[in-house]
Amino acid sequence: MSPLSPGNKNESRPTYWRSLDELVDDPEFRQQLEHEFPEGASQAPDGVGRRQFITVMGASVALASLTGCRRPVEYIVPYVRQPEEVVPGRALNYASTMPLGEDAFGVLVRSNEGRPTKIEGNENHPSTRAYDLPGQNKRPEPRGGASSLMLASVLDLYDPDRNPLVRLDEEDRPAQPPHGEEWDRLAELITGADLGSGAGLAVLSEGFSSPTIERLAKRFGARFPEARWVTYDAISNENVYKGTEAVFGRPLRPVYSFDRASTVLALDYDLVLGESNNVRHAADFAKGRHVEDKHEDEKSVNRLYAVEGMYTLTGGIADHRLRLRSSQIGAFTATIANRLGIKADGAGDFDRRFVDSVVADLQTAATQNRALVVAGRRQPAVVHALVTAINEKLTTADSLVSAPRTVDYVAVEDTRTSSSEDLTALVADMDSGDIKSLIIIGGDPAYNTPGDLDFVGALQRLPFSMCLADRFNETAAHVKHFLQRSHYLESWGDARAYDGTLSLIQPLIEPLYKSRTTAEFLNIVSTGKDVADYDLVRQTWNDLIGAVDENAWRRIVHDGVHAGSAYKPAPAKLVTRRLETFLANNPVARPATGMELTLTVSNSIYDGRYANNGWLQELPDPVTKVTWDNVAAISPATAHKLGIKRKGQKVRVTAGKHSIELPALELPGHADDEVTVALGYGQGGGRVSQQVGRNAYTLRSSQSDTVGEVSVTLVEGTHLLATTQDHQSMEGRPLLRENSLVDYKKSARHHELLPAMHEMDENLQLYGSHSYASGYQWGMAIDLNLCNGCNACTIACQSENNIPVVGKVQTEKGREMSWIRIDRYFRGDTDSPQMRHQPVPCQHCENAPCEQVCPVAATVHDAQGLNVMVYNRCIGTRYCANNCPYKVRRFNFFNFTKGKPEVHKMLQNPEVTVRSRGVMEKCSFCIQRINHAKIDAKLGDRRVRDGEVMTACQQACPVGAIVFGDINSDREWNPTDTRVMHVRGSDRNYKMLQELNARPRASYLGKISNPSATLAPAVAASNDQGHEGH
Amino acid sequence: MSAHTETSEPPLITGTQSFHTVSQRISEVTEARIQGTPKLWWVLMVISLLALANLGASIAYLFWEGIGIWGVQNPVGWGWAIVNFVFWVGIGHAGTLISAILFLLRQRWRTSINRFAEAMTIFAVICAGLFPGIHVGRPWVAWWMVPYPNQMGIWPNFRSPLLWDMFAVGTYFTVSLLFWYTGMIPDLATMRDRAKNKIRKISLGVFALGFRGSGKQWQNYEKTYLILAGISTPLVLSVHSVVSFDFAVSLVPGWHTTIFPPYFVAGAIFSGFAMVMTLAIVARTVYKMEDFITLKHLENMNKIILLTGSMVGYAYGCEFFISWYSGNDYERFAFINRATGDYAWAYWTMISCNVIFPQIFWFRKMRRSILVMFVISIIVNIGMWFERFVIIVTTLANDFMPSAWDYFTPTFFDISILVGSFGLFLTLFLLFLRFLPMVAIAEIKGVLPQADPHFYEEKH
Repeated sequence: MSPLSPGNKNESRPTYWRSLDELVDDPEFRQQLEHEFPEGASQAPDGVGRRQFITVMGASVALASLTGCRRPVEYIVPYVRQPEEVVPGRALNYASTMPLGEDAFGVLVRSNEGRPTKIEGNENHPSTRAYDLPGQNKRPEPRGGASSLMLASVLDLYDPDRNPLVRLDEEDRPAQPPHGEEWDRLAELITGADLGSGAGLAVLSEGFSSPTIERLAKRFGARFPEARWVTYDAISNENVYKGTEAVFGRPLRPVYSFDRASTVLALDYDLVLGESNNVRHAADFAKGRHVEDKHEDEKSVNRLYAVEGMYTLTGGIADHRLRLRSSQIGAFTATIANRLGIKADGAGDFDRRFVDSVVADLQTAATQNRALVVAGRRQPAVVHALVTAINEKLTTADSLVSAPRTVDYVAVEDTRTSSSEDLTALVADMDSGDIKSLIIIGGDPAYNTPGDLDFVGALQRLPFSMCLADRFNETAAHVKHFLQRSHYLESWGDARAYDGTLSLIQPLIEPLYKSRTTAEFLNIVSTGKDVADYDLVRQTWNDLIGAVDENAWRRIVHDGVHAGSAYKPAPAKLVTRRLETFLANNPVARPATGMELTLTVSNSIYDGRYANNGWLQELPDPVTKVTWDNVAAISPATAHKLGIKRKGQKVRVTAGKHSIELPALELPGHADDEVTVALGYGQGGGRVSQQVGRNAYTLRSSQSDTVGEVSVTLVEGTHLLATTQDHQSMEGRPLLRENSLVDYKKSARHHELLPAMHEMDENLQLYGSHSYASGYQWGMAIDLNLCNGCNACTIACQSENNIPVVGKVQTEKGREMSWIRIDRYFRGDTDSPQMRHQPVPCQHCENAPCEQVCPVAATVHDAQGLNVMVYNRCIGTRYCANNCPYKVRRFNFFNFTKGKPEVHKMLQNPEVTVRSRGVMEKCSFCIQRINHAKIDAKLGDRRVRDGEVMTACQQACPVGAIVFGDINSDREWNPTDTRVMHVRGSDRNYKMLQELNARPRASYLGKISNPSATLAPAVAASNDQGHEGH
Repeated sequence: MSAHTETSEPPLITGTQSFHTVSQRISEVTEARIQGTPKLWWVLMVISLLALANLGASIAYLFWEGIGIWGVQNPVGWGWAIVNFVFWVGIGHAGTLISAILFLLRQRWRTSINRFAEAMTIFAVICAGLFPGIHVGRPWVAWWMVPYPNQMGIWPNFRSPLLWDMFAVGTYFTVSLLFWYTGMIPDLATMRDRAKNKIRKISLGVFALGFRGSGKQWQNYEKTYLILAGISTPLVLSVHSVVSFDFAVSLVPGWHTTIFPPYFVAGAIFSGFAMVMTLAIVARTVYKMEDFITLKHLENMNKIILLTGSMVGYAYGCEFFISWYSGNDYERFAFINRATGDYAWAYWTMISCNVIFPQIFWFRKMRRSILVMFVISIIVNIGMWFERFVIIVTTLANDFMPSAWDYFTPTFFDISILVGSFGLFLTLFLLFLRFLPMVAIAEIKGVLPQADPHFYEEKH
């Protein structure tokens, strides 16, 4: 059986890029086979004779060997008429928008000779505006930040599984017929299905927020007036809308301004990953977090309280964290509400000092309208209703204050939100036969509908079913007609950002395979006419913004957004009686007794739509550091109770009729008696997603997002878990240093960071050193106070520097290739420790330990202070990696790029060498970008401007934790401090392992936490001793 | 030699030997026909060849796929290949020590064992030299380590201990080979003179370099041998010191220690003697050489094993003390981690094999028991392999950055290449036993009672 076929249950053979291409033939060869012979020749027809068989096989073998001995004929075609603006060798950037459910993120896409190769955040887009530390006297240029999902979405464009020709059936033959043909027959298919006016027809669409799709959905409604439109997303803000509806009488979307909040209470809410508008939220939070060294009042630093079960990144950056099971959040919210004067039943008994501190801080902040409470979207509607009421209460507490609010409520337009009730009703009607035809737009309902709905069974019974999907996913496998949807980088389209700003999607490339956009699809279905996506969008926008002239339109296309089109805050008034009625009908649920299951969105692959993305699968979860798997995360105490002794021991989680077996992972700081499982794994259909993790959607219920009580039992066997960090404690070493704000300010003369560090005489040198006093001297500063560990830098680097995916087995062996990794440490006791993150790129030591030991001088220093790798010279002794105290060097143990799918070659950054087997590699401070800037400067007869060179990690970072630039302090060269010099001038600046006298060019700014005076000062207490926590 | 010394010191060679019987006993081994080769030799040879074939296949696969087939990873960039390298270089110490240092110290008991100890050195260094060549990521360009003038003006990095290492081992091999060959010239001449067929006569004649045994030739020969011994002596100390620089010059806690050079040399002599012991016992059993390799020789070697083993034990203790005394937290952690961390099993294997077991040689009876010394010699070699494993792997697995710590697990190919290197070593050694004089004929004659100019006078 093929390793690709969904039926393959061979667990001992995990699927990943490299081994797959050893197992499966080169797709090019298959394609060639297809074209060379008449249809069916490549597979033996029934009853084939021996002679015929041998003929065909012989030809195949001959052909196969031909590809080996003959150089393929290649044509190079020059531009006969060069397109405007295209200069070969010079990349162009285009603004576009990445839609993700109801969200839309602004992107800037780099195009190298027509190939989209790299994604950045769009600084003009409200959802991706990054925060940056101010420099001396001036603010930095606006910059776009990005999330790992945005950055990795470019890999999805080149997903070889999107190619219908190389999709294989169970017997390893190309799937027949190639599904691209369906597009040509779509109008016929719809006519042939005899859908009438839509009776018995339903559309199951993913959630969206797009004027054009909404317009065409309405036209669809006009064409099929009796058809039903159901919207379903596995992860959605449904509960949030229900909560605001309970308070305001209509569903409104809360738009948060974290930068204005001085006290934030996050209830099961991860502002960094997993919730809507996360990039902007993280940036805004960082703005409120930023610590100036000397003059500033400590009140200007915000304070974050997190209440959650599973450790999230928000828990990591929180000043205080209370671990509660997901089902206890309701009771906790009710407790806070009661304390603030909102009547709600179901309050519980929680850590009194914590509650007191939260309430006091919220009330203080409320006097200036600077308090904010947020709740995660998997919490039930009642929690959101209470949170909305609390925020209203805190905002209107003092009517004299006219400061801007921390949360605005807006009425959304052009948006359809998931409704679980509608889905349940749809499945029931599909079962009963009321619905006979189903058109599925986007999503993967066959995979991600709750386990208590037999969606697949109902789907298979339908006489007519059709789906429009991004790739051949599980849904596609169960419908009669599959149509491939274009990637957003191949599409014209539009979207509304979280705050309502109109955003434009423009294509970077013609569709690689035969595919159309959702708008085109809906248009064909409703009108039978095939209209280009551009025309559909243009038509919508003529209605939206009026007929604008071509220049104004081009401005919008150029910027990616239509400025000033955000939603206006809707008049929202808290009606107490309505809320009370709602609370009476929807009481706060009692916390579950016994073991509880919480299903979370994956920190790497979101709800599973990115499951076929190798970069994201190999991206370590920022909390658990697990790659290529979902795990059952439990607290150490619960692990002890279950009798778990080793990493990866399997447990069976049973909810109702369904159960899955998962490797257990002990996670310090996790709530007791709760097991947390990430969604999105265990998908069939993709060569990467295949056999990675287990599908936790089967445990989900259609009634609520929280599962409640489950049974968890230890079962036989251990699962191989590929974690990139096995040791959780810093062992008391001064690697990641920090202090609390109060203590830090107290030590006014000598601002102290802990753990303490030994100083070293820099003059102690065995060999003479270079002075590095002239010209550009590149340096980096990483502010640990701003970093939240979101992983965007790691993916940005992978994309920029052509870093290969090595697969689960190699990752487990410790051979991951990431050039910038994020270290995660726990401090304190195992029950409620603190979690800290530290990004570690190559430190570019001036006195580099790696350079002295290389026998062939393959790693050397250049005059700009960069530690450079000469791949061609490297013979691979790995001595440098052994001698690197920061362990940032990565070795090509195999030829990791050998098995790359052909189409991935289009993704490669042409300015970065693809490394071969047997050579060492590491972070280069994006030397290709430095050289680009220097060439530009030279052509312009000027110097490289401060901020002109951004490393990929820096450019992606939403919170501006990474600052890069020239650090030459020679006043003739740099009359004023560059931004990085200014940042490095901070008292918090230190160099990791300074006592080794390696003189790194990267430095860190210590983390400053802002704990409440009434709660235990967490930092000082536990800082001296690192704790053993694994 | 006067009468009273003769009574106080037992003869170095036992049995009734004349000059002729010495030539006869040693040369006949190399002159035997196929039928005359002992069965045990064939058995060992077949096993060795299988292991050697395994080495070839493993290396072929290694070159084809890349060193990822081993267990090496981040942060343990050096695994068994370098462990094996240091192990074999260590083995290669005893030969030259016996030949050169004991020669200069006039320890005449060395004559019985020096030849095959030297051969062992050569073969061990060949095995050792194999590993740095194959452990690099791109073995086809490993020669870039060699400084040669080229059009690009690129030279190797002379600051790198790996480069020093290459010179040190290369020099040691060259000198050891010359020393071994020079010492063999009179014996080759003896064998040439005894040869019956033409091919043998000519080939041995070529290698004997026309040695006829004239007084002038003996004088030149002795002088050359003495000079080579003088050159070799510092090399014995330098080669493993330089090997230890690979570690000592780095800044990794647990490697960065000044004790490494003497400690490595003591360890090398220790393991080298243990290996000579193993081979001597095998050789004297297979070829019935008990008269030439007597219990006295073996007992002397056991004394050296006891001495060097204790030196190594002292070094282990000293390392621990210094790591505490230095006040360096990383250093302290590295050593405590060795003894109590994930690899404690390897550490305690090393301590028991190298320090505890050899203490049995304090007892004369044990020093003279063939079985005991054979077992101990093997235990010592296991222990010394583990010493290198402990130094290399446990240190790298847990250095400065706790976030990068990982556990090294060897793969099938790690094991097969180690086994294969023994195959290479034993194949070469068995061929040596079969085709070259395993004991120095001329030197043995020199220590026979008959060699004493007054021998016949006293008899009468």
